[in-house]
Amino acid sequence: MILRTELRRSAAPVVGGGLLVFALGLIYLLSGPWWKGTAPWNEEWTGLAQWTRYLAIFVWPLVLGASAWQGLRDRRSRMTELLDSMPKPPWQRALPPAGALALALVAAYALLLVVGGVQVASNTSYFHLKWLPVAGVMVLALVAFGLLGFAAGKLVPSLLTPPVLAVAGLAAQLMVVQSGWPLLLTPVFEAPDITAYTTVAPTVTLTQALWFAGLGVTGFALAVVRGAVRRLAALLPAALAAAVTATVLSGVDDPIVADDAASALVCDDDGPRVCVLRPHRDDLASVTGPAREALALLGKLPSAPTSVVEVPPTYDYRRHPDDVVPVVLVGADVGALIEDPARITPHVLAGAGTQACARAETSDDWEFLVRQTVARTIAAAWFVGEPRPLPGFRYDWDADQELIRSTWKKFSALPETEQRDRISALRAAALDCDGDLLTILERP
Amino acid sequence: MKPKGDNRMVRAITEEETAPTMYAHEIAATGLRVRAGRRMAVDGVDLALTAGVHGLLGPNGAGKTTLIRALATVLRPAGGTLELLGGADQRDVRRRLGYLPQEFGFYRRFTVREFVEYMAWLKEMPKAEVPGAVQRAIERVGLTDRADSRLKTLSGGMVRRAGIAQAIVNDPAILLLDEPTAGLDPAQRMDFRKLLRELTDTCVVVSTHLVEDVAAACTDVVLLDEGRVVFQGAAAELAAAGTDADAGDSPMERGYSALLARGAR
Repeated sequence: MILRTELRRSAAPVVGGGLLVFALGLIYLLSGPWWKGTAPWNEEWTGLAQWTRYLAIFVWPLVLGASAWQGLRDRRSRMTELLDSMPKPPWQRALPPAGALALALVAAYALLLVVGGVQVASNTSYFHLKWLPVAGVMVLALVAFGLLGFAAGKLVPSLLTPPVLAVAGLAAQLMVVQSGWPLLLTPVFEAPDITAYTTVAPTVTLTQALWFAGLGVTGFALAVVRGAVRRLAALLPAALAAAVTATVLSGVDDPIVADDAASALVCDDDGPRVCVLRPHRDDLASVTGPAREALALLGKLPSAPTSVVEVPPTYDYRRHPDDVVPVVLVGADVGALIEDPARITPHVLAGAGTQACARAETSDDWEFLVRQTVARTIAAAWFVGEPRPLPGFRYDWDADQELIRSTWKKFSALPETEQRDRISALRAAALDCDGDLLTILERP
Repeated sequence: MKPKGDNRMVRAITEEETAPTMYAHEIAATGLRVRAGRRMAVDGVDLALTAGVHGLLGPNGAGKTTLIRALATVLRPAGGTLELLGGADQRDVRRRLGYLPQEFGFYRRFTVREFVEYMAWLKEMPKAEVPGAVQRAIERVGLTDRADSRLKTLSGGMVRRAGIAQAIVNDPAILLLDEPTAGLDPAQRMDFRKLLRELTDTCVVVSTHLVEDVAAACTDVVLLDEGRVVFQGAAAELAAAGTDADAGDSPMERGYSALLARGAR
């Protein structure tokens, strides 16, 4: 009865509704990183949990400020005199307003997850439960910041408290954003850490849960106790949680760990082997055709690869067996090839079925990168009879058109066997990441 | 613990309700001193009040509000003794207290019913009794047709009546009303006095600076000046204390002026 009244009449529904509208506004009005990468917020469960936490970068300072408004109410309504004469102890009195606030925040986040989750469910059949604890930490964080704001509103009942808190929160967030592990004291992750093949280390999730629980307990305690000594004591849960959290998290190398289940392969062995990563298993059928087409074309080579395997777009390239063509099907540079299978064949053929050794993200030798791309384009052209743009290299295709044309003209004039030998040699060099590939094609 | 053979419903009758009144006075104060900020606003008050309507009169700054706040357990006495309901513990006293502060604040977005319900909850009334008690309280102050209006839409007089409703919702043993008629029009004040006369089992302390309120509704009068009781007695005795030579337009006012003048001497 009382909680219902608070849910209808207090600032709680405004705070919760505001949170939902603000978050959805950010997501849909901005073309942020949450739409990109391997785990867009509306396509992978991992992405849903982690991107909604990423948004906390803007959201939690606002929650902190808005919750202070709820804490201000008694003083603003000049109710303290009457409340001081009530038998109900302060901690019980604080339950309905604080509880309504927490419920509204949790409901808003749950609705956000529903909006994203409905889309994820329709976009992928790859379901797992690892995202739930990650999202659970966000629930704890929202409640903790809500209670801290509520307490601040009670302790400093000034109209300035909400805006000052929100700005201070934002400043604190900006301070920790580039500072390594202290970022984990907020619910936020760095954008590059959010992929479909990684997950948050369970130790980190557990420690963060403890930290936000401690913050929440301190927030509630600060809101209900009186006197300097008790207020100091109220800081204890947060202080203890902070001590444990700092100890554990400062020792964590990388909060993001490989998700072995998500990196597992799903293969079609009914013909030359084609495998995709588990999150893309729905797309295996559409990948298989163009991938096998590329394998058939690669068959012109003496030591041709026999299978195509999807790999995550990580920067540390592991060596794959020579008979395997490792391909990135969803990545920042190539985009989502699984949604455009026609581009898969040229992608597999690039560099005669090899991966690029140098990448723009990791190399600043521009000349080398250009020559590598041209060599990989010519190698692909040899299989299909003419140069075509490689997926993800449209810019290079336009910029290096002259070099591509002239190289192709000279190369295609060579005798057929010489062409094949050189493509074979290029392939071998590319597998070993050995030198400038274009010199192999350009040899007089 | 329920005694053996006791087959009462646990919630039907509380011990509180069946317990005989073990005290002589609902409010008993001796040498009571209460600070308002640095000033000793109540400075040696002796009071013994039982059921009935007690008018607390006195000029501005006499200590009326400070005394009421101490009776409401909001202020802790700085000296002397204050025994409420025979010295029951504070939480128990508060459950049986009704209080309308001079500056009555309220949650503007709540309806009258929600607000009074909320106060009933804060007074730890048994859950089952709340809806009925709320309805009765709202009826008694004449706000039935506005019960589901938000407080911010009510006039000043209606808000004050809502304040009285929250004060009486728990059928308090002690009802403290600080300037309850401020903002009420003459008709509402008459209704209010009628309401006061109905509260026969309650020890009501009404602070006011309007002498005619006291004359019309109070069984006795406590006159406070500079933190001390200068007179306590029936309303008629107050009137009798004055002579035609004293200032005032009615016998009560003349008695009031006379007693204050005497206290000042």
